[in-house]
Amino acid sequence: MLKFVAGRFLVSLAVAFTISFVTFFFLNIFTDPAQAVAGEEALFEEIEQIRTQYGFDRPILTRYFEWLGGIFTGDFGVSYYWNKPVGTLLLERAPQTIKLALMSVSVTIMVAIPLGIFAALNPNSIIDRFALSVAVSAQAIPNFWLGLILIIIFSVTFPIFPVSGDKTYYHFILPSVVLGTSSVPPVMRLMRTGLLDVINSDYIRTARSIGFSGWRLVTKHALRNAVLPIISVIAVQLGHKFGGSLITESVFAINGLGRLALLSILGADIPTVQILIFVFAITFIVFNLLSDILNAYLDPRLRL
Amino acid sequence: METTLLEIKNLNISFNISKNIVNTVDNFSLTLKEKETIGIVGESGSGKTISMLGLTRLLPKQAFVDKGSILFKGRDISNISNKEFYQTISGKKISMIFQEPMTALNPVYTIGRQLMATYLFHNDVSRNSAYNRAIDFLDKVQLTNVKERMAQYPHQLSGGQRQRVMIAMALINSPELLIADEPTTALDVTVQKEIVGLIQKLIENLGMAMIFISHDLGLVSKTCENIIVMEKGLILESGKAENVLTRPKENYTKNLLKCLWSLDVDHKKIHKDRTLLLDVKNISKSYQLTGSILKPKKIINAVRNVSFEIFKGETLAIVGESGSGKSTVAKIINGLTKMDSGDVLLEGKKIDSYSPLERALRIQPVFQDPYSTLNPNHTIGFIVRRPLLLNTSLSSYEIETKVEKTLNLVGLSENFINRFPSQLSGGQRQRVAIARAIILEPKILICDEPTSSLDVTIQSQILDLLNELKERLKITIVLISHNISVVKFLSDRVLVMNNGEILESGNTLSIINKPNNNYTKKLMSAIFTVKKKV
Amino acid sequence: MILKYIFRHTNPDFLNRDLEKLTPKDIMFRKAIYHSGFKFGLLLLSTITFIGVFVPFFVDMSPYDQDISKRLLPPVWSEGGSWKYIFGTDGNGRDYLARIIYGTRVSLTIGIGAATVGMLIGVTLGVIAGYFGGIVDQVVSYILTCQLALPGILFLLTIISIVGSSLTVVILVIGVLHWTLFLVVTRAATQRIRNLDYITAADAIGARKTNIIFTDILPNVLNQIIVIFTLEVGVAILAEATISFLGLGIQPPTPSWGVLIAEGKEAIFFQPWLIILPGIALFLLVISINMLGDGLRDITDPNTSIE
Repeated sequence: MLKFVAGRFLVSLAVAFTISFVTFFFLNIFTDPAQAVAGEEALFEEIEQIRTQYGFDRPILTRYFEWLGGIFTGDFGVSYYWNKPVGTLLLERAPQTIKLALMSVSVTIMVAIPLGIFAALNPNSIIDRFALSVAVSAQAIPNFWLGLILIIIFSVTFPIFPVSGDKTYYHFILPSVVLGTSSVPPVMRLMRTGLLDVINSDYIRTARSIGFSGWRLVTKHALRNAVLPIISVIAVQLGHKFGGSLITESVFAINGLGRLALLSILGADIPTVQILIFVFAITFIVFNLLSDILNAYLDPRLRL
Repeated sequence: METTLLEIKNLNISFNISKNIVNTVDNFSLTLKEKETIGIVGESGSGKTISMLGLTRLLPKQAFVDKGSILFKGRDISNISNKEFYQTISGKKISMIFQEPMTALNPVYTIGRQLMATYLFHNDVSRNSAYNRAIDFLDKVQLTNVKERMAQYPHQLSGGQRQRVMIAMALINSPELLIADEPTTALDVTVQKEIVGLIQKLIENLGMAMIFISHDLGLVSKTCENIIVMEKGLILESGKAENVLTRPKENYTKNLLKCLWSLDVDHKKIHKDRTLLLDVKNISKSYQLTGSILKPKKIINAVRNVSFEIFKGETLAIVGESGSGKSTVAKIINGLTKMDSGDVLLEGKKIDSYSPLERALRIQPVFQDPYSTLNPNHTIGFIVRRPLLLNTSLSSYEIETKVEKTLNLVGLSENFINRFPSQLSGGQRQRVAIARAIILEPKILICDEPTSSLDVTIQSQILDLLNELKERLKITIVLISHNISVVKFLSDRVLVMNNGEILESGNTLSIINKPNNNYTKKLMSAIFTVKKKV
Repeated sequence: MILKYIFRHTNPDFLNRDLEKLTPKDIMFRKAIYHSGFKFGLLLLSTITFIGVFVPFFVDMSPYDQDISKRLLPPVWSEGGSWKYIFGTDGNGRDYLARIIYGTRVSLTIGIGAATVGMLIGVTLGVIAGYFGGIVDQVVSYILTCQLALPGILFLLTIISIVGSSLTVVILVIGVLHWTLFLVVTRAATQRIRNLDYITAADAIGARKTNIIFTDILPNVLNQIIVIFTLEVGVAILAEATISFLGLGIQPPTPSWGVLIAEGKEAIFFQPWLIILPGIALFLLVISINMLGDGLRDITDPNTSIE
């Protein structure tokens, strides 16, 4: 078990380094950071002066390691666009995104799991068809459009929820529904097929041959097997939510990390963008790692 | 006094396939007295398992019982509610053991928990007494370290051990009837015998009746007093085991028996030709299992320092259980797997110094599984033609003639050329695979369990075909098999392998009749044969 | 010829024939006939494609002509709407129906283009990793892990904001970031197939590796690739709409549905149809593609039964 965790941890670390490396190089070769600091209309001399002043004329590898070292010591660089240290920006914005991610995953769980279970228990029934059409539709609805439609219905036509903002939990309900919906299809489908596979398995036939039936059969013999893979998928989805918050936060004007990312891209704010890509990637990697460890812990076949 | 335990009258079971009702079991009737044992024999698709699943209400969703009555201890249980049936009959009065021990136990619960749940479901007792009962039954099925076993998960046990746990689970509520559905088919030969012995002993001690389902007439005749023979959903004949075996009434039963007899013929003459064709010198091969990061590295020595010779025109059998390394040896001598050390000399030249095409002209394989042996996207014509396209420069007319000739040789007509594998039966597919292997007229044919996935009657046809090809084409055959009857029927010489090593080798008949090695003795005594009564 | 094939395969004589007598293609065709989701998806997709791609050739309409005097006209079913502008007009007085119809072309071009780019990358890597295994497979796996950890939309937007946006760039960038599913599926299928006996048999008759890959492996993975391709077209269309909505994809005045929705957002309080209509178009196109893809998956899966 320890060896497994250590192994997974090393791979995750390597992936994190690769991503930071690729992002840094990409952003610093294809854009001119000096130009970005100086602004669109800066003169050539001004740009050159900024280049030497900020040290952009040094080799890219040196700058990469400096940047990486900065991250380890908590110095995330300075945003020229926001005129603030990037670290401060992150701390200001992160709570909204975390709130949104957790709430939207709860929406996913509340919708997808019961729907998947009922669909699997009654294959080809009306419930099953309903669940399947929910999944197919949710997959085809663009996230940003769903957000706008919900605003039109619940904020404009029937003013129940606020149009945008992030002041209260009330503000987060519509955004969580939007972001949560995008994870419903994969989780629901996995719950359904997973439980169906379990129900049709040999060991459930064994349990039936003993006399177990109905709910008792499902809860005592099938559910645990089917829920194991779901737990890890939800952990992965939670990791996705941080990166996916970009669109929802923009539509509902929530001042979280996602909106920060979009505004920074539009403002060509390289230091903020490269940290954000790195932060989102790290979140995803950490949740993936957690999901793997959780899975290995819960499934006796993987436990060593 | 013998009382009737179970009486099934005119049971009909149908399947609902694509809105068509297909009758799968027709008028199945059976009478079972207390402590009686009945064997139901038939090939796959004969309805032997389905009829019993109908009795225990475990039918797959598309299947349903049409009509028929089931009397258990004089009471009609065919019309009682599911709830009552599950609470009073299944697991309590009638219990079942299934074929596949690897999947029949729930992987996420411990053995102990599953056994205790089985007992607690039907008995209102404390967990403590359920625990003791479980321990007691694990003892009864002769498992060692019983207390530790209770805390183990199924994946920590071998196939044979899991089947023992299944037996304990089936018997823990002291049912009056045990239904065993091919309980040993998925196990190794030597384990099979132990499990059958165990089941027999236990039902005798506990005074139970048993219905034993199997495709193996030899096995059933050894375990049961009475036999029912089924084919295509119909009971063909039934009666005392000796009677069915010695005086079969139906042609189908006679055919089944003939297959067993023909495999039992002592027709061997000793092969004289001593021209060396293939010389295997000290080959070794190990695999490293690094399947995933989840499992630690593990090295398996599949083949250890194996040497033997193959002479022109002979049939050499390599016998062993699964995991003995016999299939790896087959792949190595075919040049399809690289060995770690040692040499394989084909006609005096190293096998890996041949180009793939030169090698293909000399040595060809036939595999076990008729379903994966043919590419589903290719027509039979292309499959048989492809070796010629790759290896020869014949004109298309010559190729077509040759393909037709070869198909005829393996007993298939030219009509098969445009068909796809999915349109063929298992036996036909295996014939195509043989046609593909012999169309280049190789010197050696390596048959890896060529009949193990086929029904008994088809098996004997394929074996007859191989025997005929051997005579007609003067081809050398290397036969890989776990089935002693098949080996006895086809081969001149035998190598016995276990754990990657050759234990013993020699003339087929002398190995079978007078084995020297202990393992070989165990292997030979594990087979159930039916002797032809003169 | 197609009609003849359909006719031959839908007559009752054929439909009642035993499964054992059918070729694999026949079985798929028969499953297709009974698969309502597949039929619905195909019908819907054909209709949308027909309207979007062919109707503009025959009907006189322009998505670009502006008429300031006719700004924000309501659609025909609302009060004050007219049949001249069935879907009304946008903030610049352009015919909204024409803009939506022309938007189909943008979506389809980008969807198919990006899915093709993703397929080329994913399938190549997948076959190589699956067939050769070992170190090659580990390297590809590592690339895959890295790609999956990248925050997709953010990275996409960043690249486009740097490289600049044009139709080609959008296609290439979306494609380059959407190859993972192709890789996963192709690799798994290749790994499964390469261990089957017919591959060993092909080895034994002396076939070369490339011959085995192209004759034995690819044709057997093809069905799954087609399924993934279809579904990825839908994913790419949604990705394009999203980045265009955020202002970094297709640029106005080109009528991309994402652009239309972004422009409509200004009028969310009073002219909601400007948001609703292009969204419905997007939804219908993607759902028809997904239903087609799901249908294809069922049809080509040898384990599902007919119906």
